[in-house]
Parts: sequence; C-alpha cells; structure tokens
Amino acid sequence: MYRIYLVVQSILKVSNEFFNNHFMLRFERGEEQAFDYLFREYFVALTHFANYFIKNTADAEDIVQDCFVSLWKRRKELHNIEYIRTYLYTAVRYQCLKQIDKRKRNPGTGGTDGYELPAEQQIIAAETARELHKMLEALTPQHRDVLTLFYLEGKSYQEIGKLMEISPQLARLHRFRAILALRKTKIPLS
Amino acid sequence: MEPFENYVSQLQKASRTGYLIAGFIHQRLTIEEEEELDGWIELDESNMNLFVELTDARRVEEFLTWYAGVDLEARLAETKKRIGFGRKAKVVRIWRYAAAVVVLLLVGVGIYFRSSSPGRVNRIAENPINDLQPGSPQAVLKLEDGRSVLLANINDTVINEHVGIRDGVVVYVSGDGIPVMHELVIPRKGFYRLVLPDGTHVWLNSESGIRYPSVFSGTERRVTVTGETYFEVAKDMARPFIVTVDQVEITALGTAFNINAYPGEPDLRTTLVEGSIKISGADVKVLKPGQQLRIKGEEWSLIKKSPVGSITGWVRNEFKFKNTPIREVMRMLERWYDAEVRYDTKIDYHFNGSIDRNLPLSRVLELLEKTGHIHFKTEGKIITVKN
Repeated sequence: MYRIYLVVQSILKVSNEFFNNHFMLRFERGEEQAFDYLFREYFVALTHFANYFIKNTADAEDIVQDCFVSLWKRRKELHNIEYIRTYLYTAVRYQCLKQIDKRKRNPGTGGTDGYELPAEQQIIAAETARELHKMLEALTPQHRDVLTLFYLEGKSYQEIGKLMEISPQLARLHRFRAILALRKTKIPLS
Repeated sequence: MEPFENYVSQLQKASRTGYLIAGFIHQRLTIEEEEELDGWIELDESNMNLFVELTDARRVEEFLTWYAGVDLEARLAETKKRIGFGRKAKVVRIWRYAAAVVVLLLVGVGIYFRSSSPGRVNRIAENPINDLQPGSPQAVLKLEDGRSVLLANINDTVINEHVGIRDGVVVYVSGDGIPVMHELVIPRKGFYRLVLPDGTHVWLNSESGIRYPSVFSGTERRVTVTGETYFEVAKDMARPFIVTVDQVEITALGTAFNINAYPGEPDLRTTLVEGSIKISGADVKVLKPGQQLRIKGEEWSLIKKSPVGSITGWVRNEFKFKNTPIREVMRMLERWYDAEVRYDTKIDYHFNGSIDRNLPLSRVLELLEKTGHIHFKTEGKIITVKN
C-alpha cells in the first residue's frame, strides 16, 4: 500500500514539474488563461492575508489587485511559480504596511496597527484559505446551480428539475453529489 | 538574493501546512498526511494554537461568510481591464453563498469527521413523481451557542465534546462539566434516535422535540418533550428521570414508556411498556406495564390493557393499527408524508394490521383501500377520503 503511495507521489511530483514549466512558458508569453489561473488561485488567499493587516476587505482587495498588475509587468523576471507566489506575498505585505504607515500619519482615516503576530502564521492562515477556496471552486456548474436553487432560493427538487430541464431525481442526485464533492475533493500536492 | 530564497522555502512550508489544515477541515487527509500534520502541530506550542484557531468551527464559519463576500470574478475582470486584456466578465457569484451554506452545514456537522459514509441510499425511482415519499431520519440539533446543526444523511460524526452521531443516532457522552441546554427538533417527515448522557434511549417521531442538558448534574434527570416520544430510561435509583410534557410530569427510575402528546390529538397518552412510572399534574397516577393514561384537560382516564406493540410500532418504523380510528390513522400519515387530509364522507372506521413506514404514500393508501370500505384521492399533498 505504502509503495503505491510513493509511486503516486512521484508521479504527482513529475506532473507538477511539467505543469510548472508549461505554466511559466504561457505566463511569460502573456497568455490570458495563465493570468486567469494565477488570479483565481491566489486572489482569495492574498486578500485574506492583506485583510489581516488592513482590516477592511475592499481595501485589501484593492491592494491585491495592484500587486497582480505589478506582477504582470514583471512576469519575465520570475521564472518559477514558487517565485511568483513569494513575490505576491511579499508585495502584498509591503503595500499593506505602507498603507498602515500612511494611515498613521493621517489620523482619522481609520485602521488599526494589529500585526503583532508573526507574518508566517498569517501566511499559513492564507494558504489554508487558498486550499478551502480551491475545494469550493472544484464544483461543476450544474452542482453550483442546484446548490443555489436549493439553499438560496428554497426551490423544491420538482422546481429545480423544471428550471434545469432535468428530472427531480437527478436534481436531488446533483445536490448530494455536490455535497460529496465539497467534502471529498482531492487536490494534488502543491 | 539570499533573503528571497529564504522566503521561498518559508512559503513552501506554510503552503504545505495550509494544505494539511484545509484537508483536515474537510476530512480528506490520508493517514500519512495526518501524521505529517500531527508532526507539525507538536513541533511548537504556537503551531498548536494556530491549528486550534484555524479549525475552530466558528472561525471556519467566519471565513466562509467572508469568503462568500469576496468578489473574485469582478476583481479579475477589473484587473484584466487595467492590464489591457479583453472583456469576459462572467459573473458567477451567487453560487458561492450556496456553497458556503453547504460547507457551514458540513462544518456544523463536525470538523472532526473521522469516518464519513455517503449516507442512506435514497428511496427514489420506481415511484411516480407526484407520489409523496415517506419520512426519513432528519432532525435539527440546536446547540447552546445558538448554532443549529441539520442532521440528515449523516451516520457518523463528532459535533462537539459532548455529542456526536454514531450509526445515525445522536449520542451524548457521559461526563462532567457545566450542563448546557440542547434541543433536538424533528420536522414533519422525520424521525430520530437519541442517547442521553446517562445512557437513556429516546426515539422521536415526526413533528416532535426534546430539550435536555448536555450533562445530568444534581439529583434528578430532567427533560421536556413535545409530540411523540418513546423512552428507555437507564436505571439509576439515585436519580429519578423526569419528563415534562404539557402540564404533567412523568417520573421514572428504569423503565420504558411511550408518550403521545401531539397538539392535534384529542388527548395526551402515556403508555407504560415495562417498569413503573408516576404521572403527576392535576392528579397523580402510578402506571403498571401495559396500562395507558389518557389526559384531556382535568379528565384523567386509565386504560388497563392497551395494545403496547401497536402503540410503539413507529419505533420499529411500522404503522401498527389495533382498532385505530381512521382519523387517527390519517393524522399519522399527515405527519409522516407531510400531507393534508380532507374528508368527503362522515365515515367512522377502524383499522387493524401493520404497514411498513418506508413505503411511498400511494402504496400505503392502496393497502388501506384493500379493506374494501374506503377510497382515497390524492392531488399533490392533499388526500381526500371518500366512501
């Protein structure tokens, strides 16, 4: 059993390397999908991280957005996805501290200076957030629709079936599958 | 370049830890990964604190609420515009709230999932779409902090330090500590089983409920119920078990009894299966096994020989009728199939026999019709009784 596990691990490692090279090629070339991927992968985690310093989600989102823009300008300098991630975290942290500094010099603009905890812990929290986010994103559009109709709009299976042009039984099945997917999604090692 | 390299490896480690913690929250770690996580936790007290904080149910809830509000796709579109990419602003945001709700349910249902099973196989298929399906194990557990946990399709989980689900039964562990009040509420079409911290088993029929402490301290064990409940009280001579229902109190030591206190029924019926109980309120009566007490306001009447097996049939998931009036039968069906019954006839008829409660409504009505005295018409949730 353990040997199978090791084999799987090494396959994942190789495929990660392959993915990394392939991704970097597309990223440096300036492909839109590469940017989409990176943004969707890290935006939530980085906003979570920035929010820890800034204590305001909208401001945190602004900072992260700026950092993605500056990353894109420097995309040919980084060569490796690990470096990109490090660049993003470092840049976000720097921008946050800069903004806090500005707030301090202009009292009355709100904000706190509550960053006593080591940033490493905040990175772990942010990376936990990233994994949770990936898991939620792994749902298929149909699963999402059923969840939305069921939980947010309080529709019955009959109604969902009619709206989605599937049988109520299938609607019900989709809901359970979505729940199982949320619970079970397996994300490759990063 | 050296400090940057340090950051890179620090981030790699942090990222791996994040993966393990998220995996723990969603119960999808392998044994090796669990060991790896344990190793990291035990490395340092601050790691342990961080782990406890990040996996705290309330903290996860907070995260999910926050997460649902982060507008990723809109921000992506905006950022791309600034960079100079084309349009493509696909707004798929609302589902995030729905997914958050589901995860809240899953989280409420236990961060500490150990073995998760996909739940019951659902009885769908074979029945026409408009047939009403039977009830199933469903309940809402209300915790002291105001959190409600939906229990459906869950076989095994731990909810908190007091309570978990084992084989589809809510089980409390005996222990000390400060008692807090919990409540288990069963909707229409539901039923559930509960083991209290003293080992007393309680069965709850649809549209019923029970309030009880997480720990029994002091010289009495007290609970309050509504609807229909069946008790098998754990023996404890030192601490009587007292059930409050409507205006009466039922006191038991070690014993089994059924209480039917639905507001829609004509009277409150307590049936003793074995042992001994004392019922006190406007009057006081002590019951012997097989006896049933019916209370209707100030009027107390004792039935010396009641059909105990039929009365407790629901505990074994059967409808059991013994000279049961049609209106009582139909009220059972209303609660179990979430139906509404109307009468086109003044019929007064009594049923005998037993029917599996797992059958869809149409099959049950068919069986009742076979007695030859009665007919039913169903339209959606409405059943009309005809001659």
